[in-house]
Amino acid sequence: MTAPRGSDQVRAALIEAASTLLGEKPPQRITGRELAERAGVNYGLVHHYFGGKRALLSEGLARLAASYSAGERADGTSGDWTSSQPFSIRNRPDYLQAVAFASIAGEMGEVSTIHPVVEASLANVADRRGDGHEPTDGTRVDVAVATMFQLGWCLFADRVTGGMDLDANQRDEVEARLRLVLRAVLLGLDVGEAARGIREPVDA
Amino acid sequence: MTTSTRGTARGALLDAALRLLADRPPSAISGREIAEEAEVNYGLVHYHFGSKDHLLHEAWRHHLDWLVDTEMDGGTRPVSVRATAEDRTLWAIAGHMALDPLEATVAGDRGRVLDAYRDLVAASDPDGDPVHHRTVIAALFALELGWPIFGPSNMTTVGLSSTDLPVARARVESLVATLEGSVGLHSEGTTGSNDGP
Repeated sequence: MTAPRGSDQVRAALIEAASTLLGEKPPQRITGRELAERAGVNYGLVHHYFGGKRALLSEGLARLAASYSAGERADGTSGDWTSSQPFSIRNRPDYLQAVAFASIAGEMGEVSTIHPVVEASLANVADRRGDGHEPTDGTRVDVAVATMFQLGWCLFADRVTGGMDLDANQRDEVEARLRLVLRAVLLGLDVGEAARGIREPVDA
Repeated sequence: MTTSTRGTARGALLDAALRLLADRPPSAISGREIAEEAEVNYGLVHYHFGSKDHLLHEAWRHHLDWLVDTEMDGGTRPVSVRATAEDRTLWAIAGHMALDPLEATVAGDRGRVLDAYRDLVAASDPDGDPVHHRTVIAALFALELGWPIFGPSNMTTVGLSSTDLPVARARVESLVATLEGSVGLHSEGTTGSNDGP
């Protein structure tokens, strides 16, 4: 493999290195030297092109987010988390892990995490709840809670289903019910009934 | 949280391991770092635990035992949202253990907390639907651990600010109370309020 040369290649290699490392460890544990080494470029270039490690890591996270939401649109789910694939972030473990590491470290900060996808969900839910042109604060709270519920499930699903000794069928049954729970959170319905498998109708 | 064997090198190592697990995943922790954090001789890691991985595993088991004994009152009630939300160690360690690729080799346990939840639900709703039970347990884990990890960073994404965090937390508490109520459980500190639009 030849070393990246020229500003475009160097920037791209560094952002690539950042997005890979973010999925492997907490951001505060990633050093500028590691980023340079992984990208195969000189350490000084991290500062030259990004001004420092933090800005480079932000770009790495933004790149993962953009690639995730682009993939969501390509899958025909319109970036809409009320759709049939609400736990789809699990198909992108690199991104899920990066968001989880950064969130645990409290370093998500200003970095946009899942903006495009959450915004689509917000608009969709506001519409179904008849909010008018702007989502109400109640809708925003429910979308925030639904978002963290999805991320929480994707992060802990293996441990929880493994710990309960569920086989593949039982796991699918639970996930189908969790989708109903998620729908209930977003539409303000009873989550206990949803967990029983009851799909309450919504007034139009 | 601390282990029950304070004052000994063994206890100091277990406590130090938990502090480090709250900061980073098991694979990013070395035996030397744990010894340094515990202010004991590195050789004691091997003397007491055989290896770094065994020490981390033991610390994780102690942590789960502590959780069941204390926050679940010996397995008689579910963990409250307050307990998970206000104890960083608790959710940060759970998150790092879920994320770490070493997890499979380090943590060969079945999960004492999940067992305690299964027993609780089976006792409070003996004739209930097993899928309902599993779904409630799964949803409680997702909400109670997902909230402290992902909640704060999601507020700005939906156009709210950190001043709205208490409102979102109240919503999480109400969802947890509704889910628990559906299997006849009530955690400490909840009013059993209804979850409604």
